[in-house]
Amino acid sequence: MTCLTNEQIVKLVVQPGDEVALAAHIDACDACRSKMQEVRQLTDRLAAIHSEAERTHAVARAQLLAKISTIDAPAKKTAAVTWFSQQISRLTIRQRLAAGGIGLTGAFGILLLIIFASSAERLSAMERMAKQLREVTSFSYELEEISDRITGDNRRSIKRNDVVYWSAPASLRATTKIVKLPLPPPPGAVGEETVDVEEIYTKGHRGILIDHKRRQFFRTPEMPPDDFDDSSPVNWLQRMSKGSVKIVADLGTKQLYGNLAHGYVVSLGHPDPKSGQNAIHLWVDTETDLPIEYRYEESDTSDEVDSWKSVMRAYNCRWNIELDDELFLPMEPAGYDDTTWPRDEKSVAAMVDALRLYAVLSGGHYPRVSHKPGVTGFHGDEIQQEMFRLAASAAQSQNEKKAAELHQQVEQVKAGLDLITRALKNSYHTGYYGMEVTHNDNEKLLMWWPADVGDGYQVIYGDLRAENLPLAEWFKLVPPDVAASRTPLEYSKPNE
Amino acid sequence: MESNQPTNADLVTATLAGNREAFGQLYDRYVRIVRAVVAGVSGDWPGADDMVQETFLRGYRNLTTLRGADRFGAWVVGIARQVGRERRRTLRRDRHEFRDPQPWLIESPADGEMSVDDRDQLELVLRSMSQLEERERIAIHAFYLEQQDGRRAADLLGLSRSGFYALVQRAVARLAASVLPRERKERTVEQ
Repeated sequence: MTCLTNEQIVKLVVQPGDEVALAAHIDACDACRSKMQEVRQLTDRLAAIHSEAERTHAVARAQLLAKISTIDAPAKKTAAVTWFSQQISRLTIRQRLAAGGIGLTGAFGILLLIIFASSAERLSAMERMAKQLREVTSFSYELEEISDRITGDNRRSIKRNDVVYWSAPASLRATTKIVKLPLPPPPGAVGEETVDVEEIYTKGHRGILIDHKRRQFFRTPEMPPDDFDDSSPVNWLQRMSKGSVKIVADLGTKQLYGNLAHGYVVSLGHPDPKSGQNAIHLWVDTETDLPIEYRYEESDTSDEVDSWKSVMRAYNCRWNIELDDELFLPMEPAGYDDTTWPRDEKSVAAMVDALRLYAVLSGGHYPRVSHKPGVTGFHGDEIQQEMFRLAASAAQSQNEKKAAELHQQVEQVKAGLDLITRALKNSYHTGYYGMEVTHNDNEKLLMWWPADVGDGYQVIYGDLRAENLPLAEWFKLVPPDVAASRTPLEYSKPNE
Repeated sequence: MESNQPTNADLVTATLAGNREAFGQLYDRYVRIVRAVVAGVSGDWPGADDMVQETFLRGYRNLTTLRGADRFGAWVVGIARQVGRERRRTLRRDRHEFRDPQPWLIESPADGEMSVDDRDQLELVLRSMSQLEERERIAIHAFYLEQQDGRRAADLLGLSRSGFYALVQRAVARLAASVLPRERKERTVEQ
């Protein structure tokens, strides 16, 4: 009998007893017995990890019962509030982005809920606001979010600022800046800017994402109008229905940004009574019936190691404003590196040709350069020079005609090398494993980068096969630490 | 012979009548599968305690919306999926540096100190698990939380027993393929 597969060994460990023949083989085979021992140690570890939960069962149960003893008995929840919760919770990252900024989405979601759910006495005012919002053709707003981790060794403050412009039917320009400061801040500290990006989309054009911090940009697919409509504040309003969100307090009127505004504190009925969603401050322009500002705070100070508080404020909301079309032109900034990854078969073929020639000249391996987030060692010019040297060395035993042919082949793969170089410059979103992978590794990835559409990745294997992989399959092939630290593509892929 | 155990419907009715201990019994029955689902969906094992509490609190508050009190198990598992999805979104936000990512935490067992090697090994297993498919993670969590009672875990997840075992075996095989080569490599380096 041949040795057992990994799956057979796992089956023997997880569900012993059914496979007599396999068990007999284990008894007779040292190699399989050793493998089985390793798998058994792994499953023992899994059992140990999970048994920890059992130890805390009684304490956790007591905590739960103590919590429910402090809250009211179960009460009927209105269908509208349930509907609200479902609508907000099912927003995808892409939809959030399309709505005009990830952080902002939550704020607009709250706004939607507020609009959605009016108490009887406020119904007419809310209806007026909804009507106005339905007819919006453009808007802009600013968003400020301050998130502080206030305990532990890693105390810090993160401040995010967005400025967003939108124009019907599907144009968007959004800037996002994030600054990080230690807490308490040292005297005079201005913080470390960790993010400074700009996204521009307009109907009929590929979009662009500009990373000012790294002085790079890349082109993105066009923002699909249907998707945009589905998640924009305007579209949300079309899905309005009656609700029952509670107005906690009337804040009266005051001047805000030069306008008379009426304020409300609104509770969305979040299950956690401490949630900031139960105390949202909304200010509405009394003349236009459109929101001017809304803010809420959230915090969790129950954990001695990981307490945090967050304040988010959307302000300076302006509606139906004149916006220059040029604001939404996805222009490539001068002096920035273009790191747009290849998106057509011809480009991929050129890259494969370059890698294949390198492997032929080097005896089966690929450029042995490191590539990790933040820095890549793949530079097409240098690699081509190396290929010329390899070609000259290989030609020593050939005739002059053959040597000239090799030289010419190296010249011809420059375009492919340049495409690889350009893609790998975006080192946070790409992978290259020339140090480890050779032409014999037909199941290992030599290189990957995000596919133009969908959630997957374009990959090139060690044997130079190229294909588009779904995200789940890509996860299986990259090292676990790469998958775990996968750089989010929300900023780069609106189609995700 | 009839079981003396109260049915789910009995316990739900008692809870709605104000008997909180009845809800505690529902917790006893379903806490393991809820933990499996929130951890599996979110990929966040260290955060499972909080998610379990949140799931049951939501369940308690919304108990009157449950149609068919005998369906409590499937219903609370649905809430657990929702809580897990919300946590997953929060984790994605963390990677934008709005909040720092939560480290993998392995607590020392009460009966003795855990060695650094043991701790590293358990962390490697958990990290590798996070790379499995969602349903594979749920299957592993359910299998081991239910103390390797595949039949009960399958019932709670609404799967056939054979289908559940096939899923667990595939998940463990993939986990082994990820974890064991690294451990062998580390052993080689140490030697």
